[in-house]
Amino acid sequence: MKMIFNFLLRVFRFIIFVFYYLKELIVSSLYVAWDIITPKDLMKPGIVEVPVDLKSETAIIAFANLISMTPGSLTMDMSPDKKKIYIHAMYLHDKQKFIDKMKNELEHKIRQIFD
Amino acid sequence: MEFAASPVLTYAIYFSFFALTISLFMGLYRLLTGPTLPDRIVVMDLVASVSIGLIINYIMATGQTVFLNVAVAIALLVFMGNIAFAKYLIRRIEK
Amino acid sequence: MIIEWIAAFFLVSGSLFMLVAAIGVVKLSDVYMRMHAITKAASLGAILMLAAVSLIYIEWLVWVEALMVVVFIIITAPVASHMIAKAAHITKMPKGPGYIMDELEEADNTFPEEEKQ
Repeated sequence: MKMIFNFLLRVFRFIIFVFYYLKELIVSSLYVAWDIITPKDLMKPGIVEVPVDLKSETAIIAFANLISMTPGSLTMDMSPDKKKIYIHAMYLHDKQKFIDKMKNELEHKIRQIFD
Repeated sequence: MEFAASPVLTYAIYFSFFALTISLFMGLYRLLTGPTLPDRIVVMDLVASVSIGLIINYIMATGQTVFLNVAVAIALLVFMGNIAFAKYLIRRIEK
Repeated sequence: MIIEWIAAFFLVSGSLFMLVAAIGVVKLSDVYMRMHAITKAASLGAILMLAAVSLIYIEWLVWVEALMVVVFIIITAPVASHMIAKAAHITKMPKGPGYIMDELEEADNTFPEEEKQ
């Protein structure tokens, strides 16, 4: 009984995750469109190293895809022991804030569903 | 071309063809002047998306939904092309 | 009638997103920035145009094929862009101006074991 309940909860969270992914895609496309149209000289690109502690391969793949779909960030590489991920960010005004957003918001969501 | 759509949709299709053609020419500019090979691979990705858009415009204009198969094939092939180009870049630097 | 207005809106906005992606490819300064534009704006443009097609033609085959293309684009666009960004960084393509840090350059693990053989 508990197993079935857990499975249903996981499916429900997965459906919510799909909608969240689509919303992120739309929001980040609007961000990119705005950045391209307006003339800009306040861009601060950079490549940041973010520690990951996810176990399964599926969770890591979903995390990398979700990072590529959030506004202003793009997954670039992963260390061979799967402990660190390298992200190309467009607006890197505050490095610690960026890492905190990645860890607390996105990785927490992934861990609820896949891990 | 014989348009099988209502007036609103016809104007939308005209505008869409116009915008997609302009974006193809912009991709051509980057393809000719791109300084490195990855720039040109990025243009391949752009051209794939734009050609999916062109196929959809053609379907809307003529009503022949068979051509949606072509969109499926393009979406499949471009992924393979990207992976192959990335592998090729890594192999080339190792030589 | 209202369906046609919605479909026309989707068609126009999808092609505008593709135009914005093309402007970004011309205008932005290096490979990684152009990848940002392609991954997000162009795939959203394709998804919007497929939504327009499936609004106008009410056939299950059209819906299934449009759904296939949407799912495939959503899954593979980030993977392809990250493969190309990784390859471009391994081959040391020149970066644009204004970079404030590059922690991947300092790390010594860009070559995984499987690529070496």
